[in-house]
Amino acid sequence: VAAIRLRHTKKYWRDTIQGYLFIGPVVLGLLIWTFGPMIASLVLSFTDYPLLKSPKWIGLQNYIDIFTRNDELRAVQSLQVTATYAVLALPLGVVLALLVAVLLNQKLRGMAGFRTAFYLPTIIPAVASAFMWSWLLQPDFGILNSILKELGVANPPRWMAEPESSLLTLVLISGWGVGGSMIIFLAGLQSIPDVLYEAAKIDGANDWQMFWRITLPQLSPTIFFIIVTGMIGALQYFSTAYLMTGGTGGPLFSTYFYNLNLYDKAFKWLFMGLASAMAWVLFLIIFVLTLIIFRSSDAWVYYEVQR
Amino acid sequence: MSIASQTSDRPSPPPARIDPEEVAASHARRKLRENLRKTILYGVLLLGAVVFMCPLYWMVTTSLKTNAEAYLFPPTLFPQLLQFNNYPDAWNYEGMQFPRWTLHTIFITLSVMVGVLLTSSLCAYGFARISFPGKRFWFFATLASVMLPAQVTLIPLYIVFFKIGWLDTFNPLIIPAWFGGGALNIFLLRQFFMGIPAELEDAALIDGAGRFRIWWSIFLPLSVPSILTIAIFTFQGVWNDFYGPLVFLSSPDNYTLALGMNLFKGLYGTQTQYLMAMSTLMTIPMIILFFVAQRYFIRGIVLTGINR
Repeated sequence: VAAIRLRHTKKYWRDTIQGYLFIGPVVLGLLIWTFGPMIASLVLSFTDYPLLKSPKWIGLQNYIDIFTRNDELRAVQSLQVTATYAVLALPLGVVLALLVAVLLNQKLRGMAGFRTAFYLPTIIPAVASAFMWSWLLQPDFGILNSILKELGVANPPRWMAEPESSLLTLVLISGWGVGGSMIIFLAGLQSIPDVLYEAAKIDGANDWQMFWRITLPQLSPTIFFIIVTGMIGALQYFSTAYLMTGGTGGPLFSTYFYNLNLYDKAFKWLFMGLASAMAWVLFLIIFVLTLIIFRSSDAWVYYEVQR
Repeated sequence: MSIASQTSDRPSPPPARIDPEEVAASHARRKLRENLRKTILYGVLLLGAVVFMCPLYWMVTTSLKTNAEAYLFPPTLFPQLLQFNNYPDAWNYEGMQFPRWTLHTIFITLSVMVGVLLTSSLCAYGFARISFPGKRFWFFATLASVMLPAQVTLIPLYIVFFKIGWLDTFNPLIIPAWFGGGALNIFLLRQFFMGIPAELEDAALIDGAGRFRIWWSIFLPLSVPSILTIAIFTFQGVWNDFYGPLVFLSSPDNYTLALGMNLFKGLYGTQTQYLMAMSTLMTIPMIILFFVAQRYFIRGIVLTGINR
């Protein structure tokens, strides 16, 4: 018995050492690149720290400034821009992706080609697609306004060139990238058991009823997932707005997203303390919203009872 | 998840009394309705596909026009004369360093890919196949780190990189990828490794092979499809990345392709044909990759549920 126990402990220790050797990279990575910096940025958020000087403890002042000194910092304004974008782009993305996925789930010849066409935009580099859209939507020479003028529209929208339309333009452009969510919906649609539809047909249900009573409930876990990841993505929106406005978030700060603002504060002005506080505000907003969506999911996400 | 499993036309229960004429009429009606449905569906899909593809068409055709033709009103739907020399002209544009920036991008992309594949598969093996205290904690911590916005960790890292002289070098873009290579990749590979039969491993252990050897010569060869999926997504992510290089690289000599194009647009924004040529060039590797490895793309999205 003693010998067995000895061997057991030997194996136990060998496995522990080997286990940590194997997961060593990610353990070190989490400590060096995640936990360490997280604590550091939380501490920094309570300091005034222009990069080239030393940090000075100022307590909650950064957080107070974020919410009260909107004239200089534009933090609240950029938060509003981001929230508006998320509120418009997220539902548009979900509905459009679902609609396209349902259409692409029909059994027809040539469907693979259609799927490729709708997915392809998502693999285009952000830089290329931003410049492409800038060119397409150029208000005076762009192809879209040329077409609109040919069709007799006297004053077509000036897209990114006017504060009234610029944010909506970015929302529309985001619709071009629904391919990713579409593929996830498609996989979800294909995992719905046929039996359900067959049973409904025997009971005399039409397509519309089957969509509302079977497809949507069965798809609700997928919808839930898309909403969570889409929300997180929308609140961190950056590249397209930066590239299309030359980093200004213009015109008149109408597309000055929160992350654009944070980028300016951190890497242009080197206000490391303030920028850290802004990052933590963003993190808290994402965290709370994620929590709310998770809590609400009991009411509307349908899970198959585990058998 | 195969599409073929869904059949919409199941035979309906046979009617009690069979009247051949009525059956024929109902068949014809149903066929008509079915054809109408198909036509409408094709119409909608075709319209959608054209709307989705038109921007790319316009990018490519603009890249083959002269500058004057690009700004012509009304625009020409196809270039009057295909200006293929736009491509070498843009590539060698004076004051720009597109060849150099492309090399940088390739170097960073490959370095990150090697780091991601090696370390994510090592970690995945540890999580999937060895039991040791603390495993659940570290696995949970790995997954939870996905929720954290990059900006939270970015600022302290920037300060540290500033102090140790890593700013304006490729280190901040490459080195972190060698520490586990991303939570989702570890998760994906772990799921796959857990499905590999234990007998294979036990046999090798009895033969005296070490864990490292088992990881290298049993697990890696068996998981080629998953590894390819991760390789492709990593390639796509790094090749397209704009934010990382924007934060960490500052002098044009060290730019990547994405930053270089942004610089070009800032300086020569009206040379639209060249800008579109470079945009097309930057897109081509992604398109080729997509068509060569389409099923790994789809697989990756479906398995991780993330469109990266």
